[in-house]
Amino acid sequence: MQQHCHSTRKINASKCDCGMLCIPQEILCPVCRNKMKKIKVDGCGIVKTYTIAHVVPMGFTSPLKVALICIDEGLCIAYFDGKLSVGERVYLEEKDGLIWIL
Amino acid sequence: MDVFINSMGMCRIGKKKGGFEEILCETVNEIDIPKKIDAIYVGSQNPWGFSSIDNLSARIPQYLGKSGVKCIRIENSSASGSTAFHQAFIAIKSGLYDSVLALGIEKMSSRKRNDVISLLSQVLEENERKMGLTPMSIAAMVCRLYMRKYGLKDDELAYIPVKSHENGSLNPKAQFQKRITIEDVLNSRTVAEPLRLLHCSPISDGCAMAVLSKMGDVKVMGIGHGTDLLTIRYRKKILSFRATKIAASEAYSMAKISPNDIDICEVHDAFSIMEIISLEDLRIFEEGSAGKMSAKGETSLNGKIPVNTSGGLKARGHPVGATGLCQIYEIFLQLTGNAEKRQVDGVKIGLTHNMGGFACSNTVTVLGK
Repeated sequence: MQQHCHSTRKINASKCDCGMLCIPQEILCPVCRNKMKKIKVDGCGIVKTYTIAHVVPMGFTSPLKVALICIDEGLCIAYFDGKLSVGERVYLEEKDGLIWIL
Repeated sequence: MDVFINSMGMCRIGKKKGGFEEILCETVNEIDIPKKIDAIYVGSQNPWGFSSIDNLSARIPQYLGKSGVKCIRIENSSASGSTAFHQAFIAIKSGLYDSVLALGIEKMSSRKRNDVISLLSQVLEENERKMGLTPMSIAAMVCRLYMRKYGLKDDELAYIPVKSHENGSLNPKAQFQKRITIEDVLNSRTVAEPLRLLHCSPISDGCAMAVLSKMGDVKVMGIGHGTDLLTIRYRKKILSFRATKIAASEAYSMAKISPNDIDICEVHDAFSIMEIISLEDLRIFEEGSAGKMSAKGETSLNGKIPVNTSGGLKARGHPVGATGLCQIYEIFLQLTGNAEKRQVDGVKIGLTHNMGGFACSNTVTVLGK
């Protein structure tokens, strides 16, 4: 699911020649172990799926709202507030290495 | 040279009073361990984390009164039990060993529930864990997407745990032996939307063991082991598990059978949606159809292909490192005509499917009469 959308906000990512896109960045590609290039992708994407978790590990507060977002040519995990729906176009920002839906 | 299951044993699964030693003693009552056994292979996911126990390679033989036997622990997350069984198969097939005891054991109930959830989340990739994801919340995301893509309704999904408890009520060794209704499932509290409490397997203690050798009543026809990337967001597909598909292909090929030949199976229903997706990845049902077919009764005890007649991980219980051998125990009982009230007539070939991590390292085992 590659949707071309634009945002002035950028998300740090890494890209490999084999096609793999990693958010957050990885130094080596998890698939082929070649060195990845550090890139920035537009902070927008499409909601692939999400959940509101009421059972959370120690150190986290419930409810925990997380989504899986199609961004550029990969997927990232993002927190959200309020409501969300599958297929919705969302704008993202990166805060302290964590991705949030705006 | 063929490899067979000679004898098996399993304790009652549940929250047990005793520790490893007591659990083993209960299990050993049912099995015939020969005087001469070449090795003991122990599957256990996290004895240190769940039970503050280390060095199973020395403990288990002593607890069994078999300190003279070489023993190793095999770890493959929640597929440790079936993987220990596979290693025993490989050892005998190689010609080096004549008989091996494969056992799976886990005691999870000594820890508080929150600790268990955190320990189980340790199987995930670091960033996914750092964001507070758990196997449950990942399964919930998969479930939402599956239900939307294939139009599976809440009351159709609820049929899976209802069936699990129906079968569990006929299994004297199941953790839960009380039936539940669709309404019970839909009224149970939400754990991670759209998953409810009754869609999820419990915290369990238990042990199951098998003696494998060159003769026995049940033949190990084929084994398979498939893998996938640890990191969920790096995978190409999330509604289908590559690890299951590869394991199934390998096992079917070794057993020289097709999915149509399977009469009965135990699949890894850690969460109800996993039973549905696994049946599709095993090619027992077509993609997108297993949920609806199950709701129609095709996988019930008297259905076309009975699935999880033991009660599955949901009702039989899920002592993580032991589960793979608990599944094999059920198929062993069914094939030898010892499943009592839940016996399915005429079963000749059975399959077990066990997942390690979040479908990172899965096994398939084909057993035949």
